[in-house]
Amino acid sequence: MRYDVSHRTTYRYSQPVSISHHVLHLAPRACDRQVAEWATISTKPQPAVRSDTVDYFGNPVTFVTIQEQHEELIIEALSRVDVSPPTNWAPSRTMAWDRIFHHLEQDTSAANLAILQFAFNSPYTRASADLVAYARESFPSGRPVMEAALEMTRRIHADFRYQSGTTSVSTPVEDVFRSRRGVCQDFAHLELSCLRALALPARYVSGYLLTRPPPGKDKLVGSDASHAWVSVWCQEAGWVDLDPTNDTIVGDEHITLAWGRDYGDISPVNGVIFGGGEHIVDVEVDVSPAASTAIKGPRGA
Amino acid sequence: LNSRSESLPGLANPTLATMFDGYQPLNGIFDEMKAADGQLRPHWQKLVGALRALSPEEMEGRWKRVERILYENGLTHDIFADGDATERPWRLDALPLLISAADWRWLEAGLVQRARLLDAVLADCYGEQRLILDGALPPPLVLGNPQFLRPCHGVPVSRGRRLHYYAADVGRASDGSWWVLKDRCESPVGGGYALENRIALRNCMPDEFIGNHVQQLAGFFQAVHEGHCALAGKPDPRVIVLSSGPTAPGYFAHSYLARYQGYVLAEGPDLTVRDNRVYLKTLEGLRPVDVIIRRVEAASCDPLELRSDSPHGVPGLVEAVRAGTVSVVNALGSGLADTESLMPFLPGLCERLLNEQLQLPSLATWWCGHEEARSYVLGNLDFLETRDVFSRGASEPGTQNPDGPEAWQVGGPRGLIERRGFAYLARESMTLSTVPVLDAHGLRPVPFALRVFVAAGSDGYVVMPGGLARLCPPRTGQAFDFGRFGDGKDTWVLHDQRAGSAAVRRTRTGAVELSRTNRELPSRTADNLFWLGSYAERAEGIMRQVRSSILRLVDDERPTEDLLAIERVLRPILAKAAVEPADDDELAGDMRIQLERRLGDLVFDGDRAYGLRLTLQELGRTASLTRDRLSADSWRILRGLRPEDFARRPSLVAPPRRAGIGGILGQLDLGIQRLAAFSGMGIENMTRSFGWHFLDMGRRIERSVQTSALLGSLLDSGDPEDDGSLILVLEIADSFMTYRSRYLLTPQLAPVLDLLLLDETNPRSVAFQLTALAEHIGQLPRDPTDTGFSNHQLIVADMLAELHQADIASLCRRGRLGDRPGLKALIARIASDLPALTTSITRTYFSHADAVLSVIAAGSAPS
Repeated sequence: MRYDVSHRTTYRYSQPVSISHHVLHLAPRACDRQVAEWATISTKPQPAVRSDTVDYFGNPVTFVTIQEQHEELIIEALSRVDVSPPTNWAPSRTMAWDRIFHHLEQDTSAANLAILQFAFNSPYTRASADLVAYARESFPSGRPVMEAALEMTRRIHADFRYQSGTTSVSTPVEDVFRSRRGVCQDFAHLELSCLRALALPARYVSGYLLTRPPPGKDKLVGSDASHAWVSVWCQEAGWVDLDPTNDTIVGDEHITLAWGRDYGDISPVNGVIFGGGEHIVDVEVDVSPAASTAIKGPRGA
Repeated sequence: LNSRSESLPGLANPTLATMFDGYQPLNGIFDEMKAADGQLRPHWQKLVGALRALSPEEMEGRWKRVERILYENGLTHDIFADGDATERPWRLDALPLLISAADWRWLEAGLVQRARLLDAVLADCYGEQRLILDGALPPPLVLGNPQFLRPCHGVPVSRGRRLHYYAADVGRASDGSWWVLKDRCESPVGGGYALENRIALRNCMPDEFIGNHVQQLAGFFQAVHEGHCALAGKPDPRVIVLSSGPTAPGYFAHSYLARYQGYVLAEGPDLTVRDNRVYLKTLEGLRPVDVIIRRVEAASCDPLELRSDSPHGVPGLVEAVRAGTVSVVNALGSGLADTESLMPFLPGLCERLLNEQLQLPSLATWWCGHEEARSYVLGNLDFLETRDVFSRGASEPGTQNPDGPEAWQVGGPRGLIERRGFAYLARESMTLSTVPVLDAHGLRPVPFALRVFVAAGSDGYVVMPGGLARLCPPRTGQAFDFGRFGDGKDTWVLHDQRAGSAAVRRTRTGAVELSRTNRELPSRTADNLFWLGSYAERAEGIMRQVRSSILRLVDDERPTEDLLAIERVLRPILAKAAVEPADDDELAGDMRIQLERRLGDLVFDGDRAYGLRLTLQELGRTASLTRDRLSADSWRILRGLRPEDFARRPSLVAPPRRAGIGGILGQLDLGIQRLAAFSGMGIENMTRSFGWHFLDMGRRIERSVQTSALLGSLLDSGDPEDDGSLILVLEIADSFMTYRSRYLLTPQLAPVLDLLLLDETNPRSVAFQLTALAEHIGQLPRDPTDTGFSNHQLIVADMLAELHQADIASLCRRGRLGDRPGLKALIARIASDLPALTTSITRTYFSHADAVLSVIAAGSAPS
């Protein structure tokens, strides 16, 4: 599927901002199942300093510094991507989960290290003994990794309630585990904590969902903003993307922006401002099949 | 003076000689001073010989001086102790540790090699990563390490170096060989302490000995400075010491070092990144920074790319480093080499990276990720200590690591080690050598470890000849942890006798360009100096008012008018401090009792703005914030003004009920003298830099506020000429003698007003303060494009004009209601203009320092 994506973030500040620095992970990365045809990122006001580069994980990243005083900032990202569905792989035909870390350790090639690094905890993931016990229910010894991970995803979807406004990006996984509710990045961090407690490589994926579902299908949760899910290393099946918010194997309705160890590595819009007082943020995301919609020009930029 | 001071052995031991003679090493343990046969080691003979001649009283006297210097320098708490719970005073032992030239050569060479090795490991991990790709270093130790900061991967560093400051904690085994217990590569603390200890201890040890036999530290710091110049590629780089502020445990050492090296001490908000370059916000505008000496943990240095919840960082710093416009020492991410998990691999890494044999062995350490090591550890868990390798820096948002950063425990979680061995380390304990310690128990052997400091000079690494020895009392059955143990000891490295005493490093610096301006003044420091001046003046004002009042209260012969005068003249300060007025019961009783109660509230209550204690506390706080700008003497004077001295309210004994408050007269006298000494230091000993202008402006504004408030009180109901108010006001304003020398009569309103309001020759008058303020303001930096008068210039000029036009006779003239409208209007005018002046100065010079910083990532949280 080809998609046109537009993601517009508007900040309105109650007091002038004298200088602001931003790190933007807003250009979709290319990967096995995704061709990134083009992407543009613009800001208003224009940045005094801008650099477009690639981060440690291979994601496109843009740094901007806005040095003129402003009370409103608009960040707009437009892109077109072509996403293919994953190949089907029988979950039962994947390696036993408890052999994976040892297996990966034997091989120190660059490609393998790029996988292995996601087996370790990162600032937003950490598992208490209770959470490990919760995870182990799906991971009895010798069970094929993909089968177990699918069940884990299903259980998180069943046991936790989607509720926005009760958590923030800094809510620890333990709190989410206790309160049994949260939003997509909470569920992603929770599942990552479980998987990494078992020394399984798993990464955090940031991206979008198709805004208007095809006729006859339900609209997915999280489709009106940016979204997040996890990707689990399933050895024979490679990286398998799972969305605990929707209890689904990610197909061609998820657009990948970037991946990292957790939200902190790849949040779509990150920034530090001086001044500003209170701020209101307004996010508009639109993902439409490219065939049915004309490419939109930059709005208001 | 110092309650923690413990007496050294007194008369019970007739001479130090008998103590040295009676000293016995512990069985089977290497002792630094005496060999197993009880003979003094050769390098100790001269010092022991010199000390034997001293009487214990003399030694004790010298020792008291050392303790006082340490206290007054602010070296009061132990920066190595973990967390608040274990906060303990820093104590220095009276005897130094001596290290022979031969031992030192070995240690020095080994530590330089180790610094080179760890720097090479960092270069690889933050570059090509050949070590993990080739299996020379297990991948989890890098990829799973929270100290591996991915945004810093591939970032260029000046001269290819990431490790500029390195410290090693070393210990000596029973056979006399040195072992490394811990490598410190993040931001090693203690260098400033070593320097302060040395300076303090010189006071207690025979001069000629230090001068002739002990290697000096100054050359090391000179070499460090040359290293910074080389890093910046220029002879006079702008170097900043980045600190997280006075709440950081090492803050005093940071400021001490900054002042010693002539660098600017800054906090994150003092710096800003523009056009990918780091600037210092100074009074005169933004100034580019070349080198940042980082005393903030790397992960907290840039909220944009590293930990977003850190208030101490500089947003955009990583991008600036990437752009190559600034050097950070140590490079961001250097803490990766801190981890003890590297230790088992260092011999192999040394051969591979340096093609050399590793000279100094490390404490026996096992990484449980390797099967062989893991089964050894699991088989010997009872004898080993273990810890989670990755717990350090495990600072996930919203949680605390309860075990402290470096928690080793005896034994360990067997199940976890089996399942997640890659996350565990184990180590053996080691019997450390002993050194003689002189305390109340006499002279006895105590185990110790030594922290040695290594820095990159312009040309390779140099080792500080000395260090910080730390006593490790044997009661702890654990291996070694620098943070948990006892007192410190200065370390003296002796000169090589064969080379003679000429080995003192004499560095020749290039011709110094003459300069008459001081280091730049960060806006925030200007702000703090302004308030320092203000609080010093306020403290003096409160003390003077209280002292004069108490003198009247304690004297039963004084007439009741004097009590009325106190009631009147102290009304403004009591109101500002929100002291409760007398209630009905009090009004019905003896006036002295209620006045004592109210003065007591002003002096002893700890939480009153404008109360004495809070004022002294603020004085201490602003002094510590500006410590790198104050002379050692000024600092010592201010350290003597302790709010604790006014913490205990004397109980009112009933009847005769006026017991207590007179008891603080002595402390008030002393406090007023100290404040006078401090202002004298300012007048006589500070160059007229911007810093001085701000300090004095704070003082002048506060004095104007106080004097005008005193004069305002004379307008209250009742005639001030009838009670003793005029004398009291003159006394408080320290102008009674002047008045007496001019007028031989009982004080009258008109001449008092003239003296305290209009007389520009009286340093206590309002006019004098305003004239001084006008001069200061004229000296301050201005935006060159702004040619008009500044707002604060106009405010001061207006007030002065008002005073110049004032006519005493009409000020004193009574209106129809019996009040004095002219005087009232003038005082009201001054009372409203002074705060406006402070606001204007704040807006112009201080405001950009406290720009609000916020991280807005949360605004774009995915759903």
